[in-house]
Amino acid sequence: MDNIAALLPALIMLPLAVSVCCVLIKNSRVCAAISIISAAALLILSAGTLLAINTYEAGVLRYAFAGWSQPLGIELQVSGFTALMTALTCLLVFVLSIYSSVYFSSSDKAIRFWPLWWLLIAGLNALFLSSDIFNIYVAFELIGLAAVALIAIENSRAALIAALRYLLVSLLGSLCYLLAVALLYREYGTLDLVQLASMTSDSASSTAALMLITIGLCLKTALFPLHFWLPAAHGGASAPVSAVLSALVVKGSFYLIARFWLDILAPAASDAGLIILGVFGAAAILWGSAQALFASRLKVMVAYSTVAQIGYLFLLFPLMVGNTQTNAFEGAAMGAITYLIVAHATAKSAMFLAAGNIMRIAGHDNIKQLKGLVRHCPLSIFTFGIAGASLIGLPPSAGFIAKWLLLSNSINTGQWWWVIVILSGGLLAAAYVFKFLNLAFTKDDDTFTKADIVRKISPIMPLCALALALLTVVLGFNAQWLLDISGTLVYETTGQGFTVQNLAGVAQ
Amino acid sequence: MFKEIIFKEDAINKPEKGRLPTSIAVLCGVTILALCTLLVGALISTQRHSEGLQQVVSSMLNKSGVENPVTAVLLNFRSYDTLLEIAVLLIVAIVMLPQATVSKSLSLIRVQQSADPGLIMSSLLRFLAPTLIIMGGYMLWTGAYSPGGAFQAGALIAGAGILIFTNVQYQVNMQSFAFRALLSIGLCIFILSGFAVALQTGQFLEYPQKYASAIILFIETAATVSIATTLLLLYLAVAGTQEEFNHDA
Repeated sequence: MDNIAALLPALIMLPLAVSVCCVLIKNSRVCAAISIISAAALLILSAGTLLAINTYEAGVLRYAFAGWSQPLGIELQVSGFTALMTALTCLLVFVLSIYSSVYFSSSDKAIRFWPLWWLLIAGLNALFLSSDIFNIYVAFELIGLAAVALIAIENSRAALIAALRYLLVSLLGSLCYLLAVALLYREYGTLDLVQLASMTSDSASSTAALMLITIGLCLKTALFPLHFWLPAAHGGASAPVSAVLSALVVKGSFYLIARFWLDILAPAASDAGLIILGVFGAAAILWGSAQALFASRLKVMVAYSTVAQIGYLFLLFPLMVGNTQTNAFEGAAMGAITYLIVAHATAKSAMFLAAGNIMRIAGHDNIKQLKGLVRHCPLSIFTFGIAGASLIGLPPSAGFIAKWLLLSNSINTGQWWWVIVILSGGLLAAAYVFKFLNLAFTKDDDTFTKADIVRKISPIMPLCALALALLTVVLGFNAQWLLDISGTLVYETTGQGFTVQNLAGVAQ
Repeated sequence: MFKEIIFKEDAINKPEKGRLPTSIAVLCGVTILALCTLLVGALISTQRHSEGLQQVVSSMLNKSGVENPVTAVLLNFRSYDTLLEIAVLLIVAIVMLPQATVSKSLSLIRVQQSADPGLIMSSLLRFLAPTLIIMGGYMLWTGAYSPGGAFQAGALIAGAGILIFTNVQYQVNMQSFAFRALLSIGLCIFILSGFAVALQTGQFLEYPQKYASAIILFIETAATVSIATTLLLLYLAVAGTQEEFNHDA
């Protein structure tokens, strides 16, 4: 089984190699073909890693680059959670690569898109697999610059402004993080995550490092009130880019916040801090959902919905108060959040692709002028509906399971007030999803008629979106499998009546 | 000298100049000052780790193939970081490559014999450009023993490149395959060498000790070429005496 560990660098090097090929070839069709094949290879590799990880006693795989182990060299580390994140990345990349090959087929943007796309993916995989805090900074640079460049290839004034703002925010976040890395290295003399986790104390310098990391990464994750850059950036990019930004890029920085608060710098983290993060999360849910309700453009609406969904992720922190697990990436709350990340990633990318299809067909995404749209692109509206159901948290979607887990966690830990936030967030989500669907299904006085169709799209595009939406439903039916495989749920500590068995019962 | 990007919309109505009100600026200043004070306080109150990783680096230096600890860290102990940094440079290069596909010619450099560069330019070119390139090569070579290396060498050679191509006589064709090859050769060689040594030693980027210094020099040379080309591209794309390209959607 050691061969799986030996293949770990391929998850980062293959995307980089594909990117170099795409720079050199400059033929969008060949690039697309190479990309789809490589994405399939990556998917198989990451799925293999995910399946292999549970057969190990320790539940982790490590790989030392250049043969130098920590603290001198850089190591990769894969646990159940990070293997799941990598597999999710590769899965979405596979579907989105197929979508992009059609989306960019008749555009000269493809020549820039493919190399940047693969550099972004390399960065994401590098981030999830890395076990070194400085290396994570480099991965952030790769992700941040590639994401900015991918927004900027849209080449409109709005997209360029959004990209520049995103660049500045992302740089500020990176620099805060880098300063924290310097503080941690000064105090502990190592950069390795595992070594750090065993050494950290609640000294003033560690607390300062934790604060800097939190501010820097919350900027990148777009936690309310630091979300100001997100709607323009995610709403202004092209469809596959918006999908990957919302589904994966913000999750990367969230993963690190969780890692630092609950694991590496846990001694320096205070309960008050955990609760404050939760309060900001709750504010994000309400504010993001309300803004989505009032948005006049479809993609901006979906982008604000991301702001709200990020809020749910931060409810993890108050639910972990008093968590006695030694490994912070276990526990019922972490299981719920893992589920939420996967559910949101699939649903939101499906939604952005559907919105992208609508924008292609209509030439704009002004919600008011899309009345009666359903007759002209039924499949995209259907996809939007399923993905919306998952965001609202309706059964049998993955979003439902995630919210159910969150709700039962809040009740079990006696923090009933989060229940109100979660439920009202769901209601607001229902309001904005149905607001659009209602308009799209309106029969009389259509504002969108056959004459308004700007161009027809290839059937592959709505099918890719539908595949992602159906995935959220499939994940809704396979709750236990996902929780098992991520290794986050510990059966003994689930508390009063919260077991995987009754969870699976709910799912069916 | 540098081109300004002008949007169609801006030509019609001037964009408003954003300026913070004084009160908010003062408030920001005070907040940042307070945070810095706290940070300094935290630094003073916390003990520094005794030696960091210096001891480990110097004890392993003789196995790294180079004598300069910085180069050893960058190209051997933490070569993976450097590899990703080279990839970051490639992003910059891709973004800055001009879009227009006006010229389809394959040649990398075009020479216009008729153009007259002027006495000062041509003598600068004759004396300074070769010197800069030789100094770049020296920087690359000396990186193994003392401060220097791919980034410094790349910057020097890029300087020579700027000198050559701001001259009207020579033009670089940024659309050519050769130019894109130069931009990506650093990353390409880095990955390929990492893979090649893995066939021998089993770990990605783990050099066989005997050939370590040669492999490091090889990777650094390729990286120097890419760094120099990227810096040159950055200058030419912004200062642009070269090809015109428009930013309109």
